[in-house]
Amino acid sequence: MNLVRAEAQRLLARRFTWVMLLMTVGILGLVLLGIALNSHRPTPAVVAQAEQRAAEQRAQFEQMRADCERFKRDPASAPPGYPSDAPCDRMFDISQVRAEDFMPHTFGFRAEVPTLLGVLGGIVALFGFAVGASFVGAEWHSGGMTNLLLWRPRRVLVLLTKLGTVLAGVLALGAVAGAGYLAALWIIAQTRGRVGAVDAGFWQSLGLTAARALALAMAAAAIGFALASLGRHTATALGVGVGYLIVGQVGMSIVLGLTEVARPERFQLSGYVTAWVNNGATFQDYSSCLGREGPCEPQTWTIGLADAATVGSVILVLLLGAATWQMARRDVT
Amino acid sequence: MAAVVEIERLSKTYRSLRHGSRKALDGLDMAVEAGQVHGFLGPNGSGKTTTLRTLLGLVRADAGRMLLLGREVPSALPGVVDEVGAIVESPQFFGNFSARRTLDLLATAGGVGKGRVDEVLELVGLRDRARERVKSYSLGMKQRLAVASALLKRPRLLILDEPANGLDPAGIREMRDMMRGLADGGTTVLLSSHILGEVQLICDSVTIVSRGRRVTSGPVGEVLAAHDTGALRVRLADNRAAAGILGAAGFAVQPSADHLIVTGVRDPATITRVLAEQGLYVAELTAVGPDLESVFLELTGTMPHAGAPRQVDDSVQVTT
Repeated sequence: MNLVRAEAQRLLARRFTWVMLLMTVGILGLVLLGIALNSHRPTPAVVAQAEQRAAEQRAQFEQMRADCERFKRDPASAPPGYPSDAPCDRMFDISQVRAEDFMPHTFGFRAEVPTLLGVLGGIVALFGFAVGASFVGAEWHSGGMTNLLLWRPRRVLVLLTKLGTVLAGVLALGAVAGAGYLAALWIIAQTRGRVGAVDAGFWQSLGLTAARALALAMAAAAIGFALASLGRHTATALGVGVGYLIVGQVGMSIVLGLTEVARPERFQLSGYVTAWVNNGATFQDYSSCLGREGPCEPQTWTIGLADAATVGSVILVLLLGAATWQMARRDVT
Repeated sequence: MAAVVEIERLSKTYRSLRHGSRKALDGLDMAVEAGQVHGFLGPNGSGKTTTLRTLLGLVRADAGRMLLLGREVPSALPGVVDEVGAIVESPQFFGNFSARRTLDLLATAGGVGKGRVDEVLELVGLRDRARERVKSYSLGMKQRLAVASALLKRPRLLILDEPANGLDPAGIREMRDMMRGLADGGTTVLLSSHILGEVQLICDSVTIVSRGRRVTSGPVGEVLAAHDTGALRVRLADNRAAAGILGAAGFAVQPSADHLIVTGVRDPATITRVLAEQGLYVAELTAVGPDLESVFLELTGTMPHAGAPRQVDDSVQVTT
């Protein structure tokens, strides 16, 4: 218990924690400010104009769909390269044309909050990654860990107490920031946007999304912590993080694009993160259109929540297992 | 007297993919009696710090047996660590914390009352600078903080690795007095230091190691006596004439600027008699005892030779 109290005091006493906290709150504030400034409630005149433009586009779609059906019945009349199996109903679906699309953006609480919770999860995850890495990395680098081990020689207990302290801190920040964030979005929706239909099912779904966003932030903190512990330096985690973004995301995207690999998202963490936050994610596989002429609707495929949970769990178990094993075995020189 | 530290056949080899393997400890034996200040001496790279780190659970031994306060470590280390205060190598602290916060956090983690923090800050002379960030401290101040952290637990055994490193002369004297006071109060102090003059002044016993093995150990007086050559410092009005007379009488004489060093003398009275018989009268006749530095350099084979730089691993290899 003494160790837990000491680690909590240490976490709160660190300037880096407070700098990151201020940055996190600042970024969330900017996000909220941007949402508020970009949300406009339409006047009756704007609504009327938007409905007129939507009606015009529906008429265009009707005409294009009729042409499409005619080309399928009589391929000889079709322009060169027009596919004989074009999905006319889906390509020119008038139900997709909405007057809202012709109006200035209005923030909709029901429609947009799940996505914005994912944004919150991402921002808190960055906080967790940096603070988690620094909390153990700076201790190793400065020699503070050696001093602590002279007092508490149970190494694994020391490491796990530090990890638990960081995770509790991220959970607390995520919960408080999440509550404030949702309250602010609710106020924006009430004053400058629209709330939409929010029933018990919506709140339940939102609660699960928030829980997954918090879990994402805690996982990021644990990964940063494990990497910095393995390298005994904060820079190890930050280096791996930046390196992954450059090589694993940007570089890999380029390589996968050049090699026309099918379903490239399965090779990138971002796909699994998206799936985790959104309770599954559907991607389009453009490789299915390779070699075809004219319009082509790519095949879709899905990364499910279970897939994302499995990938995340494997990464966490491997990194935390390695960090714990190394902590138990390493010579502190 | 009970041994507070017992080490038997301790071995440790560091292995690295880049640098290969290096044997740091090669069957080291050592014992420290309770209530003593025990000097732990050896050339650079002889395994002193590895020994201390292994005792404290920071480094895993390959083989050997260690007892701290009568309990086998590292298995029983959590049970005895509250009675062992230690600093190993250079003082290392989180630079953005103040000395007080650093000690407060350690006290909280170890279940030590906050009042003790004020006591140790006073003891090491950091009371008035305790709220400054550690990164603004000089090496000597960091060293004082390290000692304060080691004293926080009121240890029965205090392990200090180069505690005088960076201290000013007054600080070195204070450190010496503090260690002596602690030992007089029943605390055992295991002191690793290269300031051999200090070690000779303060330590009751020593262990000297070279290349991971014990070269010698025992009470300081006994270690020095074992290397006493019976040399005498002789000074007269005519040193040159005296050198000739003593040489003719069969003594080994080493002339110096204003005196002679005479060795191989069983009875110093012989010197005065031989010289007086020739009309020369001794102005000074003193026994030249060996000091710890010369014994250390001789035992470890690290005596410097002009024009022949010594490499750090060039020291005596003790054979069994």
